[in-house]
Amino acid sequence: MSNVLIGVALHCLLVASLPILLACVIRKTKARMQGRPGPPFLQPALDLAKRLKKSDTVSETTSWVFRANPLVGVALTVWLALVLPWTGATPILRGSGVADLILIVYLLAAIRFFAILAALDTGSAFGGLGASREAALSVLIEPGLVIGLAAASLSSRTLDLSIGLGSPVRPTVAILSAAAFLIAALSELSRMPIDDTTTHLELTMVHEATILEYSGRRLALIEWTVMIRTAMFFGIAAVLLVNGMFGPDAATNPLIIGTGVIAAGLFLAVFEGVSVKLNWRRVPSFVAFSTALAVMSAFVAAVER
Amino acid sequence: MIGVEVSVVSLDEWVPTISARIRRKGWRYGHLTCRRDEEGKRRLEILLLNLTTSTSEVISAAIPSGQADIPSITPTVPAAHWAERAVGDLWGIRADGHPAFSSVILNEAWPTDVIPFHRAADGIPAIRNTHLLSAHGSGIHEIPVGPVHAGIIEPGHFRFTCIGEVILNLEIRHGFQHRGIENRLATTPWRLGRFLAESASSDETVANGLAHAVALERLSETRVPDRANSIRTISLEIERIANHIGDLGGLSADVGFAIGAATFARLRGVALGLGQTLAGSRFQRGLICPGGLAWDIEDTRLTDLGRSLAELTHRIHEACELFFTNPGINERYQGIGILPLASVEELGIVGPSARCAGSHYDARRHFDHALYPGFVTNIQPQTTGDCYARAIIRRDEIMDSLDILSEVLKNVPKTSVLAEMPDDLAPNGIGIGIVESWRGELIHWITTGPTGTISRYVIRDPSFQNWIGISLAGRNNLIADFPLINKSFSLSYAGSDL
Repeated sequence: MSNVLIGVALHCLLVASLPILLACVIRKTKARMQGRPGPPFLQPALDLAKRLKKSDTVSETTSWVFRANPLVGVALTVWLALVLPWTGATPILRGSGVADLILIVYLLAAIRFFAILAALDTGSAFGGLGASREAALSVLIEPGLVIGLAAASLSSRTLDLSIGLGSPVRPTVAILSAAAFLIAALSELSRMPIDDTTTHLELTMVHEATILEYSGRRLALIEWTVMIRTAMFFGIAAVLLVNGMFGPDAATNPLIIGTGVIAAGLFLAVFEGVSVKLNWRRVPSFVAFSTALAVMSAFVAAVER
Repeated sequence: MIGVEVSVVSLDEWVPTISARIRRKGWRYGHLTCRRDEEGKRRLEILLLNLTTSTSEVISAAIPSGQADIPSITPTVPAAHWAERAVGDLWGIRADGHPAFSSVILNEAWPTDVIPFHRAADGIPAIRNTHLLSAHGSGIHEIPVGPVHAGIIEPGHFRFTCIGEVILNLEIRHGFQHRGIENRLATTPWRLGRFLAESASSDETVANGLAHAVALERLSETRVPDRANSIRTISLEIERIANHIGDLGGLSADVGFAIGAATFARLRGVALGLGQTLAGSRFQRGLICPGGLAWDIEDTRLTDLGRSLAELTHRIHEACELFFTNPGINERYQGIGILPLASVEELGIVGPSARCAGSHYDARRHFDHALYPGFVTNIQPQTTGDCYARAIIRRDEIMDSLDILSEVLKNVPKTSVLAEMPDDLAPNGIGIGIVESWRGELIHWITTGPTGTISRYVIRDPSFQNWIGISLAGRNNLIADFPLINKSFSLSYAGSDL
């Protein structure tokens, strides 16, 4: 029992720290990739702290939806981070069914739904543009996300990811599912090559266009949830891969998974340095890779079982 | 030397005369504007350029007082599209028959009774029309962008009409930087005017300074010493290199190609450093003055320049390799924002934006400034007219300018750098300075009064001619691609607002 408690405590600690650490690693690596020294390592964390202290400006034309969106985002994201097995340590309420795959996917969709509503609520043309793109993306990535994760947890015969992701899985299935999941994650997180997080060009934005009107504390909350979601998606991919290659024991080792998350961050930073953003018309075919890989993974998992 | 021929016609003969004369072989449209002569009468004037003989012609028509409309030549000479609208804003004169006559320099923020050049004796002015073309129907929406933009760029308003993600039409509204610089130049003693002229558009400091100097040298018939001409060439080409590199960086940044953006941004700094080495300031402010150069450049500086140049050339080749071999860049830029040759020629588009579509026009081949037109440039135009061609043209021009620099640096004559200019300019004269700035043909057009003082100073920045090109090139493209199209033209707002 005390082992479980320690595991849960460790999980909570990692949920609080790993996302911010990851953001720092990505920012610094990206700067080094461009031949710049970059800001101090902890700058993303310091920015967050600074913004949390600031008051925010809210447009008079907005309703409660705009003001509530960051809170909804934080609540749902933190909840997902607590119940999903993405750090290698024990998630809370493990095995109780709260980490049900379908539920998780729709909670993720709920976060996006509120983000879209809030963007429309501002009445700005950019918000509308971003909202429409965000909605189109969310439709595209869902199949890859659902099928990929379902294939990986097929052998456990449960949809509860807190158990399913730790069940024995073939390396082929693990690799295919992790690849499908990562591609879907790049789109879900609005990273390159779907969306450039550093751009100032409103007309090209997806996610950034939906949060243009936010400032101060609320902006900090949104940025924090993005950090958590980034780490969480990388963590799940790391768990999938480590589980497939080295077995369930390695996949429940926080040290290995934590290293995996940071490694994924380094990879992302290098990738974002050298890649070119896709033409918006080409995005569906890129995301289709995710669905294709997930379907392949499901086939392999079903045949090899 | 540019000889300027003036023909005076009546307003009734205005359209037929211009239509006939611009069709002559080798002639092209320069600019259209209005000025006030010594009797206080408004004169509508158009500048036509002859590329074969390097001469120009001004056709002038008096506008009777009390009259607020003129016959529009835009239907026969579409290149005058924006110029007639600008005359409308600044003089309160309406161009009858203009297909889309609305405000271009003074926007809705200006009170409608503010008409800078209008006088009570001119009669009742035409009412300014700030209407923007819009479309209606299902699925059609408008996106207003600016005048306050993200990032540190100049103010301008873009109104997109879109169907979903596709641009149906783009209306451009400027004037947020209208400083009345033409009027200031006409009222400032000409010896002080050069600082003002340089600031018309700061990234074209050298080009504006040079066009200003050339126009005044024409008026006073001054011959510039050889050394000054060599150094003017070096100065102009450094400006071209620095800005083209900056644009390639911008083109990288706009598609999220972070490494390219960082590399080109650093190299732009190196290229601006060449300006610092030469003139003591990165934008080379104040170096060029009417008659030659404001000060002589020590030979050690020229030697240093040669050394930095070799290093820069090497780095540029590497960076261009990185940019142009990237398949993502190729895919994003090819076939985007096409401006066909027919539109380029009709609208009188100038500079790299014209040469990317197959036009050969380069003022360096035709008009006297610095060492040109004696000094040959070898740029082959591209033919596709898309964003990719505009990137390629920039690369080729960088390479060409690097060659020009090393060629000129080999032999800088050891003469004086400043010819004496007379205090009084030629009375009732016209001085035209045409320079190929990095954006294209830049015209400074000076008219003097009976006492030899400047009575009208007109600047035609290449941006003013090219903005309409962005509007057309954007049509039927994805709205998400517009920033790329905009960057590939890379126009100045200040230069067009004046």
